[in-house]
Amino acid sequence: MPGVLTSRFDISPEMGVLAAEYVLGTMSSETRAAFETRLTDEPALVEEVRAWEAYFATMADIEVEEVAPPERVQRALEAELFGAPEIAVDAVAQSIWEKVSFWRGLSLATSAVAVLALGVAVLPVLQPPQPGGEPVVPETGIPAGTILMTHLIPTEDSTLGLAVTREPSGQLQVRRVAGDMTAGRAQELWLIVGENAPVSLGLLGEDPLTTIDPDPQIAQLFEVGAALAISDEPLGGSPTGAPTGAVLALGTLVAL
Amino acid sequence: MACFFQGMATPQDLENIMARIKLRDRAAFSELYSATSAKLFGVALRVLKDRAAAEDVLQEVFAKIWNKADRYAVTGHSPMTWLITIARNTAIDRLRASGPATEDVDEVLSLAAAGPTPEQAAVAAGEARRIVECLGELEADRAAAVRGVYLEGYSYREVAERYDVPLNTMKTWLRRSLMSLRECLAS
Repeated sequence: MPGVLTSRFDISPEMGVLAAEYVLGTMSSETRAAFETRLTDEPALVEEVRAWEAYFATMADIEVEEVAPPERVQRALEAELFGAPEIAVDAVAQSIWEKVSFWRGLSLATSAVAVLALGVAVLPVLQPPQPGGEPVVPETGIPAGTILMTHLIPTEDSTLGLAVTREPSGQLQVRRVAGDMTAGRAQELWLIVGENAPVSLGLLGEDPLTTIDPDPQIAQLFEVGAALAISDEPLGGSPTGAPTGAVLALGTLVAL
Repeated sequence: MACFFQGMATPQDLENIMARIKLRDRAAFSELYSATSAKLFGVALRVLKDRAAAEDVLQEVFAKIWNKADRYAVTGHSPMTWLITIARNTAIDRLRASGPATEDVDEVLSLAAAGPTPEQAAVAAGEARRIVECLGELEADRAAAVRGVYLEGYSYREVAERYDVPLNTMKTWLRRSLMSLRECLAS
């Protein structure tokens, strides 16, 4: 069988050795540059280079032991090339919990102050903790006829603000008071009760006012102290049933 | 999930995987990683002798594979030749971070030589294995020097120091060794 190196091409042994040295990487940078200039107009030399690449790579394939790389390399690679959707979902879920627990406390306090300023009696909520007793906790369950409301306050990188009221019928009125829709993206409203997973309430419309009638099973989950959040999602809403994009706004329900 | 276990993919499997990767098929890319990452990590470790550096290089190598998959067919190489050449050259560039880069030929060339037919490629792949036989015909220390330059990334100066011969003597040795290899391979 004729050799790969000479079956189709005819170059001098000296040039052949230069091609091998080029593949080995032993040339000085000047010699290398000169050789590369020749490569651009000598296809036979290109073939010689490729033949040496094939010979030496085959030697490595035969002689070098396989060593399994640690799993983190593939994870880092896929994150570099494709982003890492699974990790992103976890991160959003984590971030929504951190934000909820932060805003839950803050917005309860600010809502209470605002309500007090309006002269509405909120004494049960404002009673200081009894010495050695339980801290004040929001009531759960809603007495008949109670209207719940909250302001969804924008998170760090967001300008979105909304006012949400829940009628005694269970119907939600969601009014956009700041910020706007992003072209090609959707905004999804979530209910977070206690430590339970966020439950989707639906997508916000283009108009400033969106009316939502949750299913009865979902409507009965609402309670004082539950959180509402808006997440950025692909058109059509979260493909997973859990928030997948950034949290844009958050607030905690209080009774009016 | 990847359906090829490490080392189990045939050359034809790898050709099919490369064709799918060229079409941006991520599952194919994951299969390629499963089938070849241990060999390429072995190559990078042999050059760098440092696991952390070899891990970095392996990630860089697979990123290049994904980003340059459309260039693969132009080389006429078998998949493993193409992959190992990228891995070895990337590792050597890391080793000599300040020295001259060992670019892939395709970085330099815009002209595409006609690739071999599948039959020619199969013949070439079988014949490329003769490099091991032909290295066996060299004196042992000269064969070791050639391997050291390719597999460990030694410079002429480093092999000269290793074998305790003057630099110019080592250059002559290596060139004569390459000349003998070439004659053996062509016979």
